Order: sequence, then C-alpha cells, then structure tokens
Amino acid sequence: MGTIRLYLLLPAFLAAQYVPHGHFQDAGAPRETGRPTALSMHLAEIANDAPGLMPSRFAERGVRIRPDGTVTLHAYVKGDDAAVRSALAVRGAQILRAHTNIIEFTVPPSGIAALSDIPGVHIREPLRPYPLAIEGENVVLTKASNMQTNGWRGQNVKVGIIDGGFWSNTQAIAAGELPSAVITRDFTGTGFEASADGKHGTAVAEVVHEMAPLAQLYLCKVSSSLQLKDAIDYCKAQGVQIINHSMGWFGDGTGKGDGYTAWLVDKAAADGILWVNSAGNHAQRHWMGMYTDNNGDTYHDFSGSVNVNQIGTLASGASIKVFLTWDDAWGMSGNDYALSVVRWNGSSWVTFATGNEVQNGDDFPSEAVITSASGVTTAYGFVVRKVSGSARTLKVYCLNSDIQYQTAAGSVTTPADAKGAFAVGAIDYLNWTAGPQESYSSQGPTSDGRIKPEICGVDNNTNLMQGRFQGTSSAAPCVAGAAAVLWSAYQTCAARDVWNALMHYARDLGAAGMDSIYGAGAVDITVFKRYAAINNAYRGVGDVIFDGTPLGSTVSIYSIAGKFVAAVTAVDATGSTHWNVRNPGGQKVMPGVYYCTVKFPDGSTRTERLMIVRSRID
Amino acid sequence: MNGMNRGAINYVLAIVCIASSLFPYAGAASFDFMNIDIGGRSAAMGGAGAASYGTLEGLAKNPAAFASLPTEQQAEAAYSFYLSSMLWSGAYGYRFDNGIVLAVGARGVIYDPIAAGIPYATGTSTNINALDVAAVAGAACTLSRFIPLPFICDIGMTMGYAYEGLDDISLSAFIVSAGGTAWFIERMFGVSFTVRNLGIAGSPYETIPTAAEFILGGACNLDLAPELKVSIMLDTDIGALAGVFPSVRGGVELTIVRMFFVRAGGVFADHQTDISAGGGVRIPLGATWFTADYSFLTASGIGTRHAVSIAWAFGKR
Repeated sequence: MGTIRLYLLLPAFLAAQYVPHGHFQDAGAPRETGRPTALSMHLAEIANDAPGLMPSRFAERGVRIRPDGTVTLHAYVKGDDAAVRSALAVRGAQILRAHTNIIEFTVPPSGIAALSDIPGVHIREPLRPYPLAIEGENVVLTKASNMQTNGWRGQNVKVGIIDGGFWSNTQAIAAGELPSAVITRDFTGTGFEASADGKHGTAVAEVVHEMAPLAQLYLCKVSSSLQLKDAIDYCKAQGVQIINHSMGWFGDGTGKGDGYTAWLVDKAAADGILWVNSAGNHAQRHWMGMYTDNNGDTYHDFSGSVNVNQIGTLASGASIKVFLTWDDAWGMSGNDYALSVVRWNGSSWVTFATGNEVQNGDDFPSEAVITSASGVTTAYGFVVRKVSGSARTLKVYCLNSDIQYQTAAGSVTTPADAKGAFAVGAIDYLNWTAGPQESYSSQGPTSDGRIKPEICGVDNNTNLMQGRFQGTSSAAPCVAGAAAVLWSAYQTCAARDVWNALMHYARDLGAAGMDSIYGAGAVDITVFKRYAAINNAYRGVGDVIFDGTPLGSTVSIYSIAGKFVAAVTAVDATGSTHWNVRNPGGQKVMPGVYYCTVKFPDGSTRTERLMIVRSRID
Repeated sequence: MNGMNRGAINYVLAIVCIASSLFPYAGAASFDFMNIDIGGRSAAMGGAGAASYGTLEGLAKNPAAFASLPTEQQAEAAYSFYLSSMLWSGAYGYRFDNGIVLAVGARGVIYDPIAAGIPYATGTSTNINALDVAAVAGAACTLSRFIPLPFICDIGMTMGYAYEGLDDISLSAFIVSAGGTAWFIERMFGVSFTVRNLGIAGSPYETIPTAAEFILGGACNLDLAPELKVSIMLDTDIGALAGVFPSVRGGVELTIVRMFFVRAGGVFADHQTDISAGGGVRIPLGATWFTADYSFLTASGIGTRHAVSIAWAFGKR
C-alpha cells in the first residue's frame, strides 16, 4: 500500500524536479518605446517608483545612498556640454567630477525624474566595480618569506590598492596584517570604511603586505569609473609605482580593452605605473559567440533552438547580475539587442527582468540586468534578443552563478583585458606545482586576439579578513606584492622592467610558452627563469642562467669583437649555470650582443648569442 | 734619440699606464663592435696593424695610418661574416697637395634575429633584433713634413658617431680616436701609440663608456730581396694592464713582386689563442690599382671569422 501511495506521488514529485528545457517563446519582453527621457530605462523605472521604495530599489542595484541623501549618477553628454551642466545645476544636481564626455553628479532620488527632459544627454547609474573574489571560501595564507630573505621587502616602493570596499582596517593593523602607516583615501563620498561596502579591499591589501611588508600602501576606495580616474590621478601624484585592482567593470567595453576603464588603465601604464589586475573568476560564468537565430524567433539560440542559458535554481533574494555586450564600436552601436532574465514558472519560462536600452547609432553596445530573485525557489536563466540591426558577436557575463552554456576562452574581464593591464589568473596553493588553474579563473585571449592573462598568482590564501581568500582577487595582490619585492631590489628600474622580469621568472605551466590559461606561468621570483636556450636576451634583472650545462661544463662569454668577458663553470648537477652578468673585475657587463661558448664535459662546444639590454642601473 | 725625447716618451708612457689602469675590463663598456678587425690585411695578421701606413684601415686601427696615402684618392670596402652576424665597412680618403689627408668611413653589424622567447607587453613572444652602425671622419698628416723632426712622424685623429640598437633600447655614442706613429730609417721601423674609440655612450637609462683601446704598436718592414718584402707587425692592448693578461696581436706579411701578399698571424689574450691567415693580390691598372684581400681568424669566442676587402687607389701619386 505504501508503495502504491508512492507511485501516486511520483507525478507531483517529477513535476517539482522537472528540469526546464531552454526554449523561451515570450516575445513580449518589456521595452521602453519612444523614450523621450534622458534617463536610462532602469533610472526611469526607479524615478516612477514611490519615493519610499527608491532606497530599496537603489540598494538592489548596488547604488549607495550617500550620507546627504543623494545618489551618484553619470551623465553621458552627447550634445552641448555647457548646456547639460547648466540644466543639471538648475535641477538641483551637484557636479562632482567630469572626464571626457562623462559628468558625475549627485542628486536626491526625488529629483531624478526632473532630469528626464534634459536634451543631449544619457543619464545612467555609474559603472561600478565588482570584487573578483569568491566569498565564503576558506583560504591559506601566501608565505612570502623566501622572497624576503635577501632583504627584498618592498622597501621604497609605493603600491596603490584601488578597491570598492575597505573595512576593519584597524583590526588588520592591530593584527599586523596591514602596516600602521597605511594611507587611505575615499573617493566615493560614502566614507572610507563602510561595512556595507565589504572588506574586499582590506583583504587584498593584506596579501600585498604579506608579500612586501615594507611597501607603502595607498588604499583608495571607489565606486564609479570617474572616481577610479581620480584615484589613479591621486596615486600618480603620490608616486605610486604599482596599482593593484582586484575588480572587474562589467558592461564596459567589448573585451578588446576598449572600455573607459581599460582606457584609464592603459593611460596609467603609459605613465609608468605597473597595473596589476585580477583576470576575473568568470571562466564558467561567461558565454561568447555569434548571434544565431535558428528558428526565426529573434532570440539567440545558445544550442540548437535553445535560447535560454540557465543560471541555476535561485531562492528569493538571490542576487542576479547579467551583462551583455556585443562587438560594435564602443559608444557607436546601431545594432539593438535586449537582455532579459527569465524565470521558470513550473511550466514555461517567463520574463523576469529586462535590460533594453535603445541602440540607434550613438549608444553603447551593452545591456545589463541587475536584480534579485523573488518568489518561490525556481530556475532562472537569461535570453538575448535582437531588436534590430545585424548579427554581432555577443559576450555575456553572469556575476553570481555558473551558467549552463559556458565559454571559458575570452572570459577575461575588464579592465584586465587592457593592453596595459598585467592580468593575473589564479592557481590554488595546493595545485601550485603543476596546476591546474582554478576552474573559474578567467582566460584569454581578448576579443582582439591578445593573450591574457599575463601570469598566475596563488589563491586560497589564509587571510584575516576573508578566512580563506579565493579567486583572482587574491592572486592579483600576490603578484603585485611580488612586483613590489622585485622593485625594491632594483629600485631604479621601470614598470616595464618589472613586468618583463615577472614574466621572465614565471614558471611555465600548461602549453609551452605563453598561453591563454596561465599566461607566462606561475609567478615565481625566487626561481630565476630558465632560459630555454642561451640564445636569448637578458634584461637587467638577476642572473643569466645557462640551461643544459651538466656538471663540468664551462661557459665562456665573449664580446662581439671576440674579447673574453667572463667564464662560469657548472658547479652542481642541476644542469644550470648561473652568471651574475659581471666580468672578472666585478664590473657589470654593458649592453650589447655577446657570444657564449659552452664547453661540455665531453669536449664538444656550442656557441650562441646573448643580448644584454640594460634598462636600469644596478 | 736625445735625453729630451726619452723623457717625453717616458712621460707619455706613464700617463698611458695610469689612464689604462682606470680602464674597465672587457665587457664593462659598450660599442665593442668598433674594435672588430675587418680589413683583409690587418685581420689576416691577427689584428695587428696600428703601426701601418698608407692604408684606410687606419680609420679603425690608427688614424695616423692613413696619413701617407700613396695616391691622391683611395676607396675601400670590406665585408666580414661570422656566426649569425655580418659586418661591413666602407672608407674613402683624399690626399691634398700639402699632404693632409681627409678620410671618412662607416661600418655596421647586421645580426640575424635573436630568438627571444620573452613575452613583452604585447603578450606575444618575438624575435629580438640588434643593429650596430657607426660613421667616422678624420684627418691625418705626416707631421715631419711641417715640423723638422729626426724621424718620420704620422699623426691622425677621427671623430664619429655610433649607434647600437638592442631590441627596444638604443644607445648612441660620440667617439674619438687619435694616434701617432714614429718611423725610423725611412719606414723600416715604426712605433705607434693609439687611443681608439674613446667616448661616452648613452641610453635612456644610463651613461657608459665606450670600449676604448690603448694600443702600442710596432712594425718592421724589410726588403729581403729585390722583389720580396717582409712586414712584421705587433700590437699590444695596454688597456688590459688593468688586471688581465694584455692581448698581443702579431702578424707577418710577405709581399712578392709587389703584387701578391701572403699573411699570417695570431692573437694571444686572456682566454684567447687564435691564429689568422690570408692573402691578397694587387692588380695595376694604368696609374691606379685594385687590391683584393681575404683573411680568416679562428676567433675562439665567436667562431671563425672570414673577411674580404677590396681597395681602389687612384689619382695622382
């Protein structure tokens, strides 16, 4: 009898456990038609809400209400800049800063609706940074003692940590996890230490301090892209040499290093700053591919005729953040796409939230949905619809959940995709010797074909703030700290030298040479880079190491004119012979092309060239 | 030689020794490509030739050596190749009626790309390239034509600019060479002193000395028979006295019926014992002549280096 009852319950059980298929036929996703307003779709929605609901609506989208009751917004000026500024001022907005065609201003939530009639401007929430950490994981601390034994402790090196949240600094200082002389600067207007913004930045700073305990740290808090610019300018003015940014800016750029934040990074790099950026934790939360519509329903098909890319089963209140970009010129898109989050209602997918800005030629090729799950626990997904225009290569990030259809390749985030960014992937300390990389560690190449990341750092470190600090957020400061250690050893070198040295010394993992998973390999400044052959170039840091030189081998170095410069003998069975790039008089050997002749124990010889390029004075 | 001359020579030698003691070991200076022996004649004689005369090889060896060009004009080109690198040079000299000679020359090294395997900011590995180029100009004369001296004295000086491109870093240098040779019993015995390629090089990151050399040279030219002449040359790099065994370069040249040359020599230096050999032919063409030379040197550090050169002497004798 009991068995019979069980059979009777089976249909209901199966219905409850039904895994929804991925086809979505609802073509009625809300769209703001004939929008006369300067406000973005989401701002317009919030402006129409009851005043009492506004704070919660902003909070849901991650926008903080400032202590004075205002919110920070960005105006993208398309017309007369002076007229826009005047119109904003008349409507009670207070301009904070501006750069290129972007104006950052504050306004009371109740005043947002009044901004809708300003011509020649598009007003939206600021791009905001997202921590590239996986919270709730345990961590084991990175031990940097082996790099400090020679006295390289980051002294006289200034490291900036630009992040979205710092908290418990006092606790970290008291525990010796941060230096007492740490310098802090808030660019958000919401206070440097605010628990609501988290302690991600403090955790990042802790890792840098562990690696380079004597480095001077500058902690800068930002929450918008213009604040990021100001923070960079501040760091530059303070003589900061290395900036660590364990954050990603989504919906900014098309993966080619073409967004505004990538531009800021490139400029900082051009100004001589080594910009270390976490690559992202989105190898399983990223999809990229050409828009395909196999069944003519205008929705992109991720596989066959499946147009829903599921993001998992979510309980009420779970955060949902999905960003879509496509490969139109940034700020000049005329191909209109819409992004919707859909929800399984037990029998079909229904639209839950939509991002559907107008793209008609002078707009950003991006859409975003930032919302929270509600109601009963059920499956969620997202769909992409082409409203008008031609098929483009789509790129989607889902911040909070792994997605059903994933594309690990190209998942490096912005601004790690910038040419000037030293992007860092993550390897768990337990897998440090041989890999693999963390499954979530974002990979290259960029959308324009450049290899990313540059290198991999250690994650899963023990961390006072995070317990176990996992993610590329943790790996990046490991590399930034290594850079500070190197820089302290060679204090007259330039950012590019440190960049090259880090790549140089990296222990190759994965495919031989540079690859889009590990970059140059695992960061390792205690083990000098093994030259694959002596036919190579030395760039002024550390020793030249001649590999393949068994015990008893002698390497003689001659100038291009044939003069003897130095000789070194292999003194152990490691197969590697070190030369300190000095002649017998102890003088450093100057730039030029040199010939290196290896005399092997069996009497055979091999001669190749070595270029010495000094771009620093040691 | 009277006492005053002996005193002067001692004084010069003392200065040279002090200056050279301050000089760096090999490798601690740049632009060593300026010191490569390229001419077919000197390279065949182990690189000796500071105490030569009448040759545009003096632009590289000792500016005094082109003080007495045998004809009004002379042009010379040389090409040398060795492991993954090629060196070329060209020179031209003009002798005025008053005996002053002006000469210009250029040289460079072209390297095969060096496989780098180093990822740069672009994120891609690439080959790295190097290029060396230099140009010099100078004047020389036989001083004893203008000042009464008990011996023949050639002097000369050159100045030049050199460039070295090493991947993304480039170095520039201004260089000066000067030398003098005293000849006794016509030009049977010669003693020379040369400071060559003295200068300062700079890159965007540092200022460094060029690979200057202080050379003492000697020559002996003897007529063994009416159509058989022997020349013996010996150079020593006294700059090396700073701490390592001084390099000694020596060679012998036999000139047969004034048309054929047979040469041999060697280099003895710190970690270096090499031999060289070569030959040449001079082809008269009316009042002018062509000379073609070949040499090789078993340079231990960089492999056997071959050099060929041609020269054309023309104009008034």
